[in-house]
Amino acid sequence: MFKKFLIIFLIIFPVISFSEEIVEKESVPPPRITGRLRNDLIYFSVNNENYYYDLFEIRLIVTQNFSRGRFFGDIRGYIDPGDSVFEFENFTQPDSPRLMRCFWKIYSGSGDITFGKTYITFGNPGIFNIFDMDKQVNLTDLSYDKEGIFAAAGYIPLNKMSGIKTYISGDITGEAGVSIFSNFKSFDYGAVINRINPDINIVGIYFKGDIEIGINGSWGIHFNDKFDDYFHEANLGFDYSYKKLIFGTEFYYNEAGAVEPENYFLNEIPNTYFNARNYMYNSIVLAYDEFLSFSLNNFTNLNDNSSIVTLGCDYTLSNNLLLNLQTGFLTGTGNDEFSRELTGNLTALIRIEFKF
Amino acid sequence: MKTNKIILILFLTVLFLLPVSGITVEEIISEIDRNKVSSTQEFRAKMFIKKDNKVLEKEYTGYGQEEGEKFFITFTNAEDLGVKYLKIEDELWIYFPDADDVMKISGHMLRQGMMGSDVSYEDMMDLDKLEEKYDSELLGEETINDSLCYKIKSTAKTDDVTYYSQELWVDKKTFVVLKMDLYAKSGRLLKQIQQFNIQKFDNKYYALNMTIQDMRKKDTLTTMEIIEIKFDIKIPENTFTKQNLYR
Repeated sequence: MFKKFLIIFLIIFPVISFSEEIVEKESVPPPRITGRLRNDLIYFSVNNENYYYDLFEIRLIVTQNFSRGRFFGDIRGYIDPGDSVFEFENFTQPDSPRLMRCFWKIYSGSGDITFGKTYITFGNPGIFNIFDMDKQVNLTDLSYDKEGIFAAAGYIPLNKMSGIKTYISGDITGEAGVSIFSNFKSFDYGAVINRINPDINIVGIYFKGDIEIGINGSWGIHFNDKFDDYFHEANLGFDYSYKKLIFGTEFYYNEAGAVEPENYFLNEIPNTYFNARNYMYNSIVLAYDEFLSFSLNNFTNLNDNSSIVTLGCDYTLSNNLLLNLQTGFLTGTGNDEFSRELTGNLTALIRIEFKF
Repeated sequence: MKTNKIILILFLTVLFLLPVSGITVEEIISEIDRNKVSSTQEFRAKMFIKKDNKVLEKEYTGYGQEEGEKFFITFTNAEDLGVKYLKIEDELWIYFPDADDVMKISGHMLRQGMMGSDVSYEDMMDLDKLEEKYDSELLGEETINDSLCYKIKSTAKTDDVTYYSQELWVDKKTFVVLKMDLYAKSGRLLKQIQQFNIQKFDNKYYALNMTIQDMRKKDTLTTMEIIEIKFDIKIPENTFTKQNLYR
């Protein structure tokens, strides 16, 4: 019901809001349509069975700027995904067409309001952000785009670097939340209260700054409405660059996570990453030159020492034409979380992408 | 005869100690700064990143204030569409449109090239103020691109600078820096910057084209071309804010 209300509001409100501008015949730039064509060829191997999967994606982005706001739409279409992969339960065909985001943003002196399908972002962006509302990790594509949620969101500035972000939504990913943030010396920091779903809430704090090396961290407590069931979640990360190399490390702690492999899949813990208690993420990027870079990423379950290791290469073929090669393998065995027997022992991705 | 010799030696000594053309290095730097002085700027520019025979083209618009103390840049080319940078004093934030989120850039990352170019974030942020962090001396005069220039050498007073020393060639007529060589403490040439297409705006001169070559890389060159620039304009309210990154 709330979603329907939002969709109607999404369409009607801007007409009312911007009708004044149209009457005044303000010079409004025409909508800009941009997009992307992307082809992913994915290979993976499970129990000595080989699977191939080709996915062609068309992305269209429409933006329209007004003096007091803007419209943004991002829609994806998928052409002829391969069939064999669907026999493997871990992969699902994306919906097509798929509305990723579609919102109006209205500017005013006291703050900005967003209506529609949009991203709600709290905390530090990146791997193991404990305030992320959708904590699924796509292991073949760490930078994959997620769908927005239908929401009404507000941004209230307190000064040039401080403000309040808030939202309400009827979406399954989040109901309502507020974050207050600021900056002091070389540090950004903030606090978050978020009601993700009935009986799932999180309150916490985060920071990101510099002490010679980059450092970021966050802590939160998840609790139910009666506050008789709760657990802590935290992360701490460091980053540094030397010449062409960029290093990053993140530790992640989820108190509700299992310690023994046999308990990993007993209870599904909402709004957490993976199933165990302690993880580490490492990355090394070699930016060889303006056109070529290599990356090595590694997720390690510190409870059973199983890992996912990915190697990647990005190459800019020409203006707007990019090639990405990526391969990943698992080191775990048996009941380990990142077990070759359970999840497969090798993946490979060849991606070619053209932006227009 | 002996007196004449002494007078000649004294004359040559005094001549040697006198600044070239009767202008001091402080006055030259002051003139360079006068060219740069404008309360605000609005600009549209292109950046060409060249490696061997391949060229990447990027386009951006932006505002600047207080001599680079603040700037706000929005990329408009297809590949980087909507990526925004906000700089306030010595801090930098980047907005990623695909994540609709803002990230503070760590201090060590400022040494990396912006958008994969030869221009580092540090170069862009102009953190190493010449008059504050360097001791300068006038070396003489040389011709660069058919323009007679003052040649200045600046050496860092402290170690907290990106480039330990710089050699600058300053156009005698316009006081625009036409060429700049940037060195490490070891004496290794790190970057070479050249400016072209000098235009007059009111009583100031400004270079609209710039090339930056990172000498540590092989066969790379970044060219920046200002398509449009306005000085001392009224900048929209809330431009240099985090709120504007999300807009």
